[in-house]
Amino acid sequence: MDINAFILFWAAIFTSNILLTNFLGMCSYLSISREVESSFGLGMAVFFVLTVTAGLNWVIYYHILVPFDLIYLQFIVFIIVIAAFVQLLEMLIERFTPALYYTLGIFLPLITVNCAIFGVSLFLVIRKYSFIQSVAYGAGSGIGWLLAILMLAGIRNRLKEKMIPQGLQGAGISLIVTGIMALAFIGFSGIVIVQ
Amino acid sequence: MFNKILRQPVMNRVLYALIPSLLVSIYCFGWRVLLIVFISNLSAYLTEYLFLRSKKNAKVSMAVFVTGSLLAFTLPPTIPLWIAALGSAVAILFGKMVFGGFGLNIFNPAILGRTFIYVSFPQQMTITWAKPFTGFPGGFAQFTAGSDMITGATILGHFRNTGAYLYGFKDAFLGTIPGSLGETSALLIILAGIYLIITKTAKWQPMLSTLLSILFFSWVFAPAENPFYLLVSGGALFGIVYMTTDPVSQSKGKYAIWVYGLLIGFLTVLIRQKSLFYEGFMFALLITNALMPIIEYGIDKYLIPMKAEKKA
Repeated sequence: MDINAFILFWAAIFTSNILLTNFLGMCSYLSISREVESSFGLGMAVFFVLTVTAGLNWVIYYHILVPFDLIYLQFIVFIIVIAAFVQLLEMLIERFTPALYYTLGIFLPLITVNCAIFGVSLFLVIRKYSFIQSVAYGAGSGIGWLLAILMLAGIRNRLKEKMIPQGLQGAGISLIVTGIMALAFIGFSGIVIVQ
Repeated sequence: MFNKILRQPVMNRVLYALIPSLLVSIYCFGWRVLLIVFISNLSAYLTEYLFLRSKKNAKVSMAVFVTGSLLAFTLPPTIPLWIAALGSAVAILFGKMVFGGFGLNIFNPAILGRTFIYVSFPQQMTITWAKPFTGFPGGFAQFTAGSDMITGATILGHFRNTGAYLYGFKDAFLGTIPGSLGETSALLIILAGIYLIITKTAKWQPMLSTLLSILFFSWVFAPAENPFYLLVSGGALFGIVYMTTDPVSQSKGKYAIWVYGLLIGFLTVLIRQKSLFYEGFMFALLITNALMPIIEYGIDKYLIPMKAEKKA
């Protein structure tokens, strides 16, 4: 894959936003977008974990799994790496900044099962990114995810929940809004080809 | 059934402003134009009526006719009627009714409907364009648009592919070019914009900020070209006058309204120049609609307290 890492970073935010074009990481996106503050906290955590695990998984894949012919273990290994890293991060945050730890609360361990993070690790293998590209793609996807959840949180903040037809309140209207946002982001397609 | 329409004088004035464009459009493309506008409005009305049927004392707002007409004006004259009907049904249903009806929508309904059918039916929306009639009586004696078709690139697509102008500035300005129903004549749109501002139907800030932003970024992305030409060709001017000024989905804050225009202009030019699509205005407006709530939240929360602190 011959593509400038810096361009890839921007592409991951806009043209191939991990949430609005690949629809990955929807569950926490839908459930934690009620308030802007908490969605920002979760988004920053996702961004950080994505950036680091993209790099870690690249190193593990090309320097451990490939030389020892263990590629069939990639799914399990990637998940373990992500889970271990999130655990480590959790302990560090708790030790050094307890305030942030209590704000994030349950969101931190939830990141382990965020499919956007696992998805990025798989994409970087399939698309044969180099190390720098992988980290740039991970960071871009993280920012893109943060952007998407902030957009939804802003919109939900503006919605008048009581006026929405009863069956659509909550997740229903969020999914419709997400669909419209994805429709809008189609406009960016073709600016950069990432795969 | 028809006496249940909520009267909104503001919306009436928008409809009056559209009449001259409609006449020119009939002159250029034949009486079928009127049928498209009618079908689109009918579908919009029925959608809202069905949605409100179960509620007591609910009235269909006059705004459905504005949405229906605006949507129809952005369609090519050769559009199959069922696509026009589908577009305005989607516009009303997903653009407005799911958010609770008039006054509560986040996205511009007409633009949402147009983007939906543009993405779903690219063949009918972009491939063939009818050449306008010329001379007297022109399209007033015809039903369908001329059999003289242009296949392929629109004025914007041709410009991007070859760097050459398909039509002169005067034609693009007066509207005697192939294009969607109501957006070809820049002159009439500008007059309508002035009318809307004078009668205080629409705010001037979003129009001006979007206009300046499109001109500026056209110049940045294509410095050798005449930015005014890029403005009058394509749907940007129509969008500036009628779409950015939607009283519900536009931004209202003192600073936000300028950010709104700036973003629309930047994204329009970016998508026009770089993406798969030749016309970027509708995507730009939808993206901006999605982005503005969080930007306004940020402005209210951080920028305005900061200014207040400085003054104190």
